[in-house]
Amino acid sequence: MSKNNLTNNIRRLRFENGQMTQQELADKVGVTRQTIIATEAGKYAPSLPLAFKIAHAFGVPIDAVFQYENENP
Amino acid sequence: MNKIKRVAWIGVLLIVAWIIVSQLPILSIFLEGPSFLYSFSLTPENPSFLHLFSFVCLTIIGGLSWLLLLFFNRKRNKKGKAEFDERDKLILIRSTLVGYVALLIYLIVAGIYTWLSAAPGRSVSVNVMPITVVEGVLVFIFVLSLTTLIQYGRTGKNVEK
Repeated sequence: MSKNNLTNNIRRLRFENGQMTQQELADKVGVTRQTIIATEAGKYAPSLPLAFKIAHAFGVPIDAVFQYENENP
Repeated sequence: MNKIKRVAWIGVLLIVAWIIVSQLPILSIFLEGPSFLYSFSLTPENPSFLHLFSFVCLTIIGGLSWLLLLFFNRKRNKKGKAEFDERDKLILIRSTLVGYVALLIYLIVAGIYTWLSAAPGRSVSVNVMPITVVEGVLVFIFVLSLTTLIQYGRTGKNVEK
């Protein structure tokens, strides 16, 4: 069985963008702080629109925020 | 804690409270001699009082739950904060599906049990149908609430890093 992993750099990007808090990011993209926490920890895979919103909030392309790793392509 | 999680906690706590309160008469059967609780128990002279008592408890606790909601809603979030998003929606949909599966299983089991009880030469009380429906609703709400809480897990307790 293949194992797919979605990793992200949200935590690093938050700190590179003026120590942005999880709540500030949540307010920017219109979700709850719990969703940002779950996404950052890799426990929740966000929808495509939300992924784009997060990328726009940091002013970077989406692949700079999220990386998809397929162990068994 | 968002609104869905609050309501889920209320659902679990209320149903557990209802189970405890409504089952007291059954426990009272084991008490020696006549007592206040014993008067509510399922006896040949008073066969349907247990069901009535359970229904009254459910109605009272269900009615009071609205007051609890009002109490929790007194704390309002700051403006601009999202209270419900796509993750909450996904959790709610999954919980509802699990709740419906539990309800279906319960109805099948209750139906088979009732059918077996109504074997030739026996009869089924008129209380069975409404009680089955009420209990089915309780099973649905309980499973839905519990599944919601399990899915939220402990992410809400994470501190800012």
